[in-house]
Amino acid sequence: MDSLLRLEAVQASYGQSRILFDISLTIGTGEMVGLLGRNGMGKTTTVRAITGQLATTGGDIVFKGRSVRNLPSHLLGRMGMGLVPEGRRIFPNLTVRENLVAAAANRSGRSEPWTLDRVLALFPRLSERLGNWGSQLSGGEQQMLAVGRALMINPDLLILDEATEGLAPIVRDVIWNALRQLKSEGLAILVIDRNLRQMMDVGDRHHIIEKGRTVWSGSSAAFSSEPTLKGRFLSV
Amino acid sequence: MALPLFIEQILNGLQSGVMLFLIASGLTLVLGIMNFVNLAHGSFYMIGAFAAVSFQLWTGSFFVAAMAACISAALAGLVVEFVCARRLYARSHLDQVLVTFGLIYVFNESMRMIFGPQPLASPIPPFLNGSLTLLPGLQYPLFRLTVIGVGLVVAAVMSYIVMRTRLGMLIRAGASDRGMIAVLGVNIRLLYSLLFALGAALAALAGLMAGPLYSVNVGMGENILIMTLVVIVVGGIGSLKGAFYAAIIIGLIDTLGRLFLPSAIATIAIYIFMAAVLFVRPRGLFASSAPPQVEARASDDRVTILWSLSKSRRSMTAWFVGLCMVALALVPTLSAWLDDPFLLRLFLRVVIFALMVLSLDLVAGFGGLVSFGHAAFVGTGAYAVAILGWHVDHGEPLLLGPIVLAGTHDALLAWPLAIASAAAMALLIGAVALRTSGLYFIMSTLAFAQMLFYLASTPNIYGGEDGLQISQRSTLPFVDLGDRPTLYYLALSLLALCLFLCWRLINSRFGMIVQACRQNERRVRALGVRTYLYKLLLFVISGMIAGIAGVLLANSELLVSPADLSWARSGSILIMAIFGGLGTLFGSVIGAVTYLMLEFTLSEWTHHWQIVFGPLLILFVLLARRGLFGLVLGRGSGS
Repeated sequence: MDSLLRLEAVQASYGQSRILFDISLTIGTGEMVGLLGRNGMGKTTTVRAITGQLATTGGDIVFKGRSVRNLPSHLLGRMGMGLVPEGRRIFPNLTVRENLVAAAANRSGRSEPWTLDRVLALFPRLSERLGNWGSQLSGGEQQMLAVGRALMINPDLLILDEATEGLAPIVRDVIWNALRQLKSEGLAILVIDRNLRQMMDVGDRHHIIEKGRTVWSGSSAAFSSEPTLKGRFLSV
Repeated sequence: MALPLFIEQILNGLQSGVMLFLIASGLTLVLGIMNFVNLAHGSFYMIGAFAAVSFQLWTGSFFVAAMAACISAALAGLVVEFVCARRLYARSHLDQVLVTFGLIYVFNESMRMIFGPQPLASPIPPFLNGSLTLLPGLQYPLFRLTVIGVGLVVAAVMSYIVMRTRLGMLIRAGASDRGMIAVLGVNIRLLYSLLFALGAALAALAGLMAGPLYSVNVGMGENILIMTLVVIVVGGIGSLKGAFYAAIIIGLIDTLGRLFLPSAIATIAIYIFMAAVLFVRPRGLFASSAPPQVEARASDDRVTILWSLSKSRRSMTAWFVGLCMVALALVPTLSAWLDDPFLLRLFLRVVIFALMVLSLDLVAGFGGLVSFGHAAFVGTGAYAVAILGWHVDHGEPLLLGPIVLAGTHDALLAWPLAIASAAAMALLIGAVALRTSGLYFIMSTLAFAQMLFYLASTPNIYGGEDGLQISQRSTLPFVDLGDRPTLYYLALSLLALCLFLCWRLINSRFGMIVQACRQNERRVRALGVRTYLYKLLLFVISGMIAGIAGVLLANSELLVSPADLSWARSGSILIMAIFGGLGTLFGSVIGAVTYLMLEFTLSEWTHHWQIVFGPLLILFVLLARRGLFGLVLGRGSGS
């Protein structure tokens, strides 16, 4: 299959301690892929390696047919990776509007690019908060803003590290509905989340990471047909 | 006072304020966004001034000169960013301080080589010559008005760029989360280079306008830099608005203070103001609400932990230390045998400086508190000895409030008093400075030391700028300190004692808590430890050791001067600490030997030794990260 992003046996370390041993995964165009695993297994580290925030020590990362291993993160951003990071990392000293437009770009020359209006249509809640500082937002608003901010650079791949962590159930639904809509519009999405039901419902395929290795890959249906997976790799 | 004169002084204050802002604006952005301490920022100001003068002489046009000044400073900024700064963004503030300190040597010495040591005069451009009548009885120089105008325009433009444009959004976003802005596809490096060049150009703009008002000389950058740092600390690092208001306030305090306050207070008024601000708001007046990115970056990459050594290494280290001490003990004999009194003089200096470095290593290496004003405590000890001696020589009692002291040369009285004054000074400075952390700590210690420097430099009965001669060495029963070898042995014994006590201290529970604070203060606090008190006590102990060094310095040189309190002295102590290896205790001795020998050898070799020393320092910081004693300790040590 022609994949948008492909990781082949990626390895990475923090200083002396090796975190990623053998991460392999693929995401096709327009696909939503879930990254599953318990805490501390290397999900966030994998995202950091993909987005150029952590140097990899082995393996290869191929994005849009080009090896992008250890490219600086701003080039990856320009190539079309949009990240919603863990902890959201909203710019607290910028207003909501500024957070959205500061780095906005349409480098791939999309005919219907993401604009402020489109993002506000996706998350109407944000339009009430346009003039507020990033530091004044609730967690849910911050997450909407983080997603909107990533969309404003018109990515081909949206990566969400902890899509709904710590959010109220009603806000989770807002986020998941947005993801559903984005997927239906053909955006490829890599998502980390604990909400298995939504993940299986919306996601096409999934990879399970255990101690820095990809230990299982398969479709939502395949995951559901193997009831032991949950106990072996996910439950605590 | 007549109203016109008052208004004139207000205008003068404004004029010096906007110039401070021009320099501070670039520096505060570099600090806030790149988290980079650039002590060489004052050099851009100097380069601007020199370039303007020379281009004006060459072309005769003020505008061409102004353009040339800004462009050359911007280019210098780009070179600095590209060659040095870029390698240091991820390193500790200490590394940044040292490398940019080395850059100051390079810039100052090259200006001295090109233009000579004499100050240059810069003419006011003819079309700005003359005065304007603002009010009846109030004439004000047109040039100064222009300076104010230019400063305000630049402030407005910068504020517009930062608050209203997308570039400004990126700059502000970069100040709160550099990594995230890069992930969004922004080339943060390019942004950094641009900012660096812009900051340099603005400093040069201030420099070229300063030319006709003050004089153009080597070292002008450092004086203004300290003021600028005060502005930034008061305004809040990274805040353009803060820099603007703080610059105006500081300019006004400085100018009006000279008019209304006694001269001794006037010279330090801005430092008192800064201390007050830091006491109430440790992160400045306009610190952004963003979580402080400007935290102390753990200097752990430099710190060598002694007990992580293997057993064989440890015994090897013990042998090495022992041999060094024996070698030091043999210096007087060797000096007498070679009939070379200079050798003893040099090594007396080495031993005294080793004590200073040891005191700094205690706070910086183990406590993670990078003090850039350690000369203050050395100077306090030295001045105390000198002042007590002066009073006994002049038969005037020393009045300390209700206490009357006759003055004394007796070491048993004078030395404890001197060490106690150094400790008291450390308590005072530490009490305020330790409320801050990271960059603010570095800068506030620097500013406090500078305050003492100016206090000692103002004309006073203790010699002012010329310093104070000491008529005789302190007296001790049974021992004649007038004999240099005796003084040397006493100094060496004190050094050995302090080394031993420090070693015991850092291995005690107190020492462990202090070191834990360096690594993660918040966690130590969560364990129920009042970290502030621990750090303050460490700071005071360090001040006492520095005081001992000061006492010995006064006795060995028989002269104390403001130079003993200067920031150049604080800087060289810090450099010695790095040479030897931070967090190694004995590295202080190695560092002092290396530095002073190097300084001696290079200055024998060339008059312009700083042009060699600066790059050496930069290379050393960039390459040998754990210091010379760290090499002895080997690879097994450290975190």
